[in-house]
Amino acid sequence: MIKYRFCYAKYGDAKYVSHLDLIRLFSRVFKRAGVPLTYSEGFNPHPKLAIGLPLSVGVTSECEYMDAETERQLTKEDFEALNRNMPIGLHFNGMGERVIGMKKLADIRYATYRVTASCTKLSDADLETFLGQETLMIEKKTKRKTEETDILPDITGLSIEGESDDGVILSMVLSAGASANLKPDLVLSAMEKYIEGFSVSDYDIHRVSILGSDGRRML
Amino acid sequence: MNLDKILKEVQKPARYIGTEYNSVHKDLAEVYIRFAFCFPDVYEVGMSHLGIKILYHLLNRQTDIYCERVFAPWIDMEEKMREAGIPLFSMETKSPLTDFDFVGFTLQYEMCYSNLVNMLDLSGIPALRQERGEDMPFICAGGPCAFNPEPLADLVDFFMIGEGEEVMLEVMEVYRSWKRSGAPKLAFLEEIVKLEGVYVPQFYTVTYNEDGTIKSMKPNHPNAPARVKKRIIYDMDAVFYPDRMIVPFMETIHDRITLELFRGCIRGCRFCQAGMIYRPVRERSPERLLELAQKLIDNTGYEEISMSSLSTSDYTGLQELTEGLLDLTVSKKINLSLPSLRIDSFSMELMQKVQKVRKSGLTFAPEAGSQRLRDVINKGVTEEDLMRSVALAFAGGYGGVKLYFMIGLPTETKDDVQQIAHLAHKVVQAYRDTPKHLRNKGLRVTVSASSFVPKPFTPFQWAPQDDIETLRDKQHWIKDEIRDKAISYNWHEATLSVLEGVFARGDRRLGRVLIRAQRLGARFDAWNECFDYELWQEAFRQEGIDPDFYNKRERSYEEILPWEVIDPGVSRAFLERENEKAKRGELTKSCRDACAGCGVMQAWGGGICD
Repeated sequence: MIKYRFCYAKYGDAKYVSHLDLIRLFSRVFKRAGVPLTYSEGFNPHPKLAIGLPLSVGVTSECEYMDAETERQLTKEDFEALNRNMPIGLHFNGMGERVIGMKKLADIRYATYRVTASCTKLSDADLETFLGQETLMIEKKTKRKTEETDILPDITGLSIEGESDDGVILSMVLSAGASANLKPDLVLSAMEKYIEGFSVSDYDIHRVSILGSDGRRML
Repeated sequence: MNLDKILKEVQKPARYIGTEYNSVHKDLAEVYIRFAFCFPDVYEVGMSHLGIKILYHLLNRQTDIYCERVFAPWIDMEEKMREAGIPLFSMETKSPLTDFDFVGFTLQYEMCYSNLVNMLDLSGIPALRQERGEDMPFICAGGPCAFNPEPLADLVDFFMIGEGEEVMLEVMEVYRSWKRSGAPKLAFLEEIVKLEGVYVPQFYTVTYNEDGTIKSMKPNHPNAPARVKKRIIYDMDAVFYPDRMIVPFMETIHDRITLELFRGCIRGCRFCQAGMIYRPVRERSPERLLELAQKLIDNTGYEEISMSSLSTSDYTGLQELTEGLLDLTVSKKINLSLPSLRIDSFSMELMQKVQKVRKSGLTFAPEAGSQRLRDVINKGVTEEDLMRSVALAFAGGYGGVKLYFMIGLPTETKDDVQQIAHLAHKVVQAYRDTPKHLRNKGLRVTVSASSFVPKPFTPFQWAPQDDIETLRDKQHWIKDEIRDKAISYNWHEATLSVLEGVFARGDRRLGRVLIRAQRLGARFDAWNECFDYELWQEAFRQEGIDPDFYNKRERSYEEILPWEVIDPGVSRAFLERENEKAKRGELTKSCRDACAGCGVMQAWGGGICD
């Protein structure tokens, strides 16, 4: 039994594939590619696959992580076979054996995003004022309830990266993982609330990277 | 507003993607014929259907044909599409349906008809044939409900009756030359009506008697046959079967490999349309099935294989097949599922082998509560059979038993209905009689009673259908007799069954009602949360049509039945004979025990029944 970490991209219409559907999808990709996964014991054995950080439906990414356990050492040919058996819109772009000392997926702390927003005018100064607030209170939905939460501590970086056809491209570094997690659309809502006259009509979110507590990538 | 934005706002956007593994993507510039294969229900239902899996790949194997899939958008999606002015689109290329040469619907149940009308409406295609111009695609249909095509006769250009693998390609071949010729649409229909299995409703004139029954139904075109004979495939090993199947992103109802063992059924249950219209029995060989299974496993990565047929136990190569399949699947952690199994000791042993884990539930379908009524419907199952089976199941550790029944069967009495509950109690008793160390800790007996709907080309096609009040009374008679907490009881909405009955045995005057109902908002009638009976009543009222005409009458043998323009192979004489035997409670043996002379042999020559 050998432990691997895979890095994969999710793009195009595949961004509408939900987190729950992905594990089933990957297990079928491994089956098709003839790469034997390790299965759990018990009445209902399931393949040992784990995805690091859920990606919201509708969001694209170039850097998702999945840990897998296989019954044998994988070769470059296996890696290529896996990619040949992926549906359109999903692609493995890295694979590495998990060695001792490697960060666990539970150590994920940050995620960086590129958000292309169709919106009213926005300046660097607007963002400076926005980040200079004491708190950024916004309604955040948890599993059971909706409550006012200060999201400011979860914004590590926020800047204008460029201009789009009818708005801006924003770069965001936000808390991610089990202990604190902030989604980019919530930052946009907060910006609408706190930046006077600012409003967003449409947006696309792309996850650029997922980082550990050391600020480095997971693979 | 674009599609991308809408998809972010609807539930389950994966329903609308179309880039699943094994989906087919072609360059439109290199395609001559575009076929929109429409399933008039939501994605996860449509993608579970075997016919679409077969015909999609069959058509796409032709390099100049591109078959794409279309499903009914769920309510939330439809609302957004209408708001944004987005017409119904195909899954693969997101093209509007007006871009296609053919828009073909598979008709699996009558309660999808309003979705068909709605899908045409969402495409900007007039539902009535007369209102469609030369620039519109051909609208065609097939599937079991096409055996009574009449309710859709004014909507659909042509129907393909029976098994589609050959006739569809023949129609495409005619289309190739027609398209090159530039002739009007009529010329194409005049040509394909010569093909066996093709029904073109506009080539038939129907006249009516004063009482509303049909006076005559005759071809008005020299090319049209008096009756359209269904198509069958002779050689199940030679006919195309896909060696790859689309693997959906989201979970569908039947999310697994489907292996079709055989077509037809030897049993001859008198209520069962499938058992009549799919005759004769034709099997695939175990060798062919194992070859297909191997390829489908390799090409899909699915974790489950299901054997599909009307009655798995009647497959002559079952032992060889399951043993072969176990060799292919066990090491790969692939499950086998065995639906439609008659429970005897052989099959119990088989299931123990196959389903090592799940002992959750087994399903039995006695269909009727009393032996008298089971004899009427020719369900060759006795109470002893059932009790022996459940005893085996309980001793094998199964804790859940589902019992399927029908109410509203011909000749049914209060006693017959109440015996449904009594039978359930006997099943509970069988559990209690099972030694504690063998049986499952929990017991759950589920009694499910659906309402009988008389179907065309069955011995009960002349029978009146119970009205809503009677069905509801019967539902309560069962409920009142159940006195055990281990039994749970559910039943189907009577209004839905009655509406299904109208369209099952309807004629071409009902097309207007369908169109009216869609305008009033009918869609997804098979879904409880969407079905609105009052809306349908309003549609019947506005069109001046009495639904009782189709349901409440007992039809006489003299009456011309609207669907008799189709020839299913099974003869009318056989159906009449079976109906009379039903009234006397006489059984008819299975095809393998004794040929009942159903007419199929005569229709295609001897030696076709496996």
